[in-house]
Amino acid sequence: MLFFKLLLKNRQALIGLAILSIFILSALFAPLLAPHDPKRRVGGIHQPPSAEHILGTTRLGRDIYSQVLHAGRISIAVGLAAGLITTIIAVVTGLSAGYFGGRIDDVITFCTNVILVIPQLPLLIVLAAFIGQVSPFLIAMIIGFTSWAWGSRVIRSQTMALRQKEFIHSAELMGEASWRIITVELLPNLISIIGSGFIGAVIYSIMTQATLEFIGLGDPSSVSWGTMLYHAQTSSAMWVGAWWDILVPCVAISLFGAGLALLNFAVDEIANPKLRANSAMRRWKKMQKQIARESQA
Amino acid sequence: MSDSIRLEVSNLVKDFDTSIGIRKLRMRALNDVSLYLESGKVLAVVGESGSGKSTIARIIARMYGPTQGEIHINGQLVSGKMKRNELLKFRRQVQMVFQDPFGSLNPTHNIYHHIARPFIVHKGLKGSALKQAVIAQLEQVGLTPAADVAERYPHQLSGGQRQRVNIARAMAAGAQIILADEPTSMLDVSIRIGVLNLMEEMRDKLNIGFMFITHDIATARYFAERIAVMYVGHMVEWGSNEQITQSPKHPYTQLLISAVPNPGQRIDTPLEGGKRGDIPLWTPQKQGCPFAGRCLKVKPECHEQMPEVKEVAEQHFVRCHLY
Amino acid sequence: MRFFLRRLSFYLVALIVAASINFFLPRIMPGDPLQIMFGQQMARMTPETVDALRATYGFTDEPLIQQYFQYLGSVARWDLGLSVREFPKPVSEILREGLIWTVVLVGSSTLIAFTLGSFLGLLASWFRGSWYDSIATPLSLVMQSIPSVVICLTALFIFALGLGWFPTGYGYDPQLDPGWNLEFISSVAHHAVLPVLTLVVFQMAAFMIPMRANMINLLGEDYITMGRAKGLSSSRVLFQYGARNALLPSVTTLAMALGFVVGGSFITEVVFNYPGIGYIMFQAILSRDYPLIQGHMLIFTMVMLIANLIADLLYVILDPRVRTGSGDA
Repeated sequence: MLFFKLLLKNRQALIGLAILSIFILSALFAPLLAPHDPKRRVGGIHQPPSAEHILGTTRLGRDIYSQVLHAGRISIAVGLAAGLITTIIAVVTGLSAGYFGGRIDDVITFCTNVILVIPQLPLLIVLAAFIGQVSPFLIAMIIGFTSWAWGSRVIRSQTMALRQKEFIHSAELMGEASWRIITVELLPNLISIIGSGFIGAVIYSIMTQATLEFIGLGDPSSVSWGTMLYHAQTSSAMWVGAWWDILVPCVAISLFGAGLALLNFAVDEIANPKLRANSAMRRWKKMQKQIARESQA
Repeated sequence: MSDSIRLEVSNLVKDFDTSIGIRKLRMRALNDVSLYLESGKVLAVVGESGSGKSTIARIIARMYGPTQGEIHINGQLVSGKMKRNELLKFRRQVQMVFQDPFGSLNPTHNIYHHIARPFIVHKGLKGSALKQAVIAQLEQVGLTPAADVAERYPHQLSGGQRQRVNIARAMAAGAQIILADEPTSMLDVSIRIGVLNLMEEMRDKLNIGFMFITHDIATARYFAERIAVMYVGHMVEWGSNEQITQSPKHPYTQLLISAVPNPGQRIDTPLEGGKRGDIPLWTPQKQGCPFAGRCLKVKPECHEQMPEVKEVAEQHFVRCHLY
Repeated sequence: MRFFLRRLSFYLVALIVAASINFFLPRIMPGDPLQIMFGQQMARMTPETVDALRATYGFTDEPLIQQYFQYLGSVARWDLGLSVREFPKPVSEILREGLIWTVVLVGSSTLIAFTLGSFLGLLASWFRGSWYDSIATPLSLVMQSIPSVVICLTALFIFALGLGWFPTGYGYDPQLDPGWNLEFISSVAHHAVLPVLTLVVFQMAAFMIPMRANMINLLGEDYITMGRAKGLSSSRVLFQYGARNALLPSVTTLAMALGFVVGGSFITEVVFNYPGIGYIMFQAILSRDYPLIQGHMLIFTMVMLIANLIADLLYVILDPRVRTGSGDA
């Protein structure tokens, strides 16, 4: 609770939260707020912003204001879903690797490292290209299942540091079961990294989704910020001077990402996850040095 | 209150594998350690850091297994594989209190959680019975007002209070023997005595046995019936409090005793029994007495052969070539 | 040495995993995998070409495991099949033509971003809490969360279309003949400014933020305090005592970040029509040129592995603990 109080006192967090709530509310109430159907021709070709179409129209005469509201629903939903999948896999693998160690750790760490060295976007493109026109749901799935490695690694190292803490030892000595130690004793101490990992994953997913759709691997009939960019680019909006067609989805993506980033920055500042396992490490290093000296003598 | 219990450690050996660069090295952290703990009695294990004193406690607590040797409680083996219910029974009998009062409580849970868990796991308490038990336990260790303390989080307590919580926890599990790993060394001197008195009270009133690990022989003298002195993984001398503090036999024990400030002693009196020298790292291949390098009374055989254990007085043992 | 052998074998496994994805994807799809991959081009192929391609990809009647090794063998010989779009041209040749552009683009921008980002991070840590830190740090985080598409399109719109300072696309002036003359080289440089700049903006935060965090940690260490207490000048403590140690984690970030840079460079090339492998890939996606798309992933995986290997090397040079092997980090 203290955490939330501090969060509300943080200027960056407040700005971030304000941006995010505006976006999420307008996405939720898009059908009420949007004056037009985002998929219907309601005006002339590439009309600049005017009283009737406050953000102008597209090449196909669709109302951009209505589009950007509706697009937010899909883009944010995909971001949250992919972020959630990423975070869940990262937490499960990172915690098990860090807590159990040994063979389990070897296997998980190996998989994590392999995924980390295979470049993400080309991998996603290969997957998406073979699937064909990828629906937003599938985009969320493939992003979610391919981008957990980094988070898993971070959580693993934090878990390993926590594992050496005496309160974990004393829970074990108290006779607590492993699953209880993991979920009740370890997990609450990782909440802030998991939280900021989740926000990071959402940012990444929204960016990746926009990228995949921009290069034409998405489903062009769905309305999201990425497909808006795709249509604007394929209709040469920039070259014919219809800057609003490009600018609006760009601003939407950037603002939403900025809101998340500000929130994440504040979370990091408040709940600095640095664990003070340092003194034990120093003692260990000292011992290692001593061994080295002894063996030379 | 509880039945008498006797925990016997026999011929404990513990090796750790480390590596320096590519070379692997096997270190012997404990060598042939035997001791016993019993209800209502305190055994102080004294030694400098790296002497293996904490390792004994950790092996007894099953944090890791011994390389050789066995541990029995009332004749029953408690080292090695155990079934879940046997293990829980063992956990009820033997508990540990750690050195670091800041690290041994989970910062994300309040004190209530810490005391309630052992009652739930080991006694199956629930609801209002559980609440009453937690409050009573906190009161017993002098954490009052208990209802208020229970609501607090570890960071809201002082070091001494946290250590009381740790002792309360061990008692909540029903511990008959508590392994206390330097429980007061990280506390302010002014608070230490309170925690020591609490443990003393537990011993007298509840017949709890303690293994009290410390690097400070003065604290050991204050509260232990028996004292064992460790040096580089070896027990070099052990006996009653009187025997060790009044007539220490091993040169290392003499060194420790002479280092305790004594109001009657002149400041320029040289320390007895010691000279500067490196503390050796023990490996299974090493021979001789580990203290030989620092010993003033060193003899040629000290470097060649490990001394035998000799009983110099009744229940007073020493491992030294001088006797 | 053992350290390197272990890393090398790991990289080999990673490459095989990437190749395996390529191997299995067309086989999971319903229908004849060769038909899927080559589509309408099948009609124009001679039976010999079809057989040769089947051999390359292992699309044979043999058991799956044999097909698998056949395919791995082709990859090992760097035989990646033929492109669909530019039909009988081999994939490896098309990629080789694009690779140089991408390597120059990614290499120069990463170098600039690394230097600039680390330096700015250093400043932010030293002046922690000052106005510079409280603006630059969140700002760079915000920049990091803006997709490269947006950065590129904005840059293109403002500096190329709007102000006309830079060309709107391609790697050099198409009227010039490629060659080692001043005119051509300056044209290449002129064309590279915007793509490099957008990539620098895109990656800078990835170096600045960890540098700041590492330095703040280090500044609390005893030896830094000692250095200050000894009366050494701030800048000397900062650079000689702190930076070297704080840079270490950045070196590994460098290799890791490359994965993201690859993604960023891909978009940059698409937006600026820059003739690297990202642009080639984009063309391949438009025409569903699967062999080329697959080859693209393999070549980027190789680039990543080589970058990681270089990072390993740098790490050993910078960190004596790894060299002796005692710090198994």
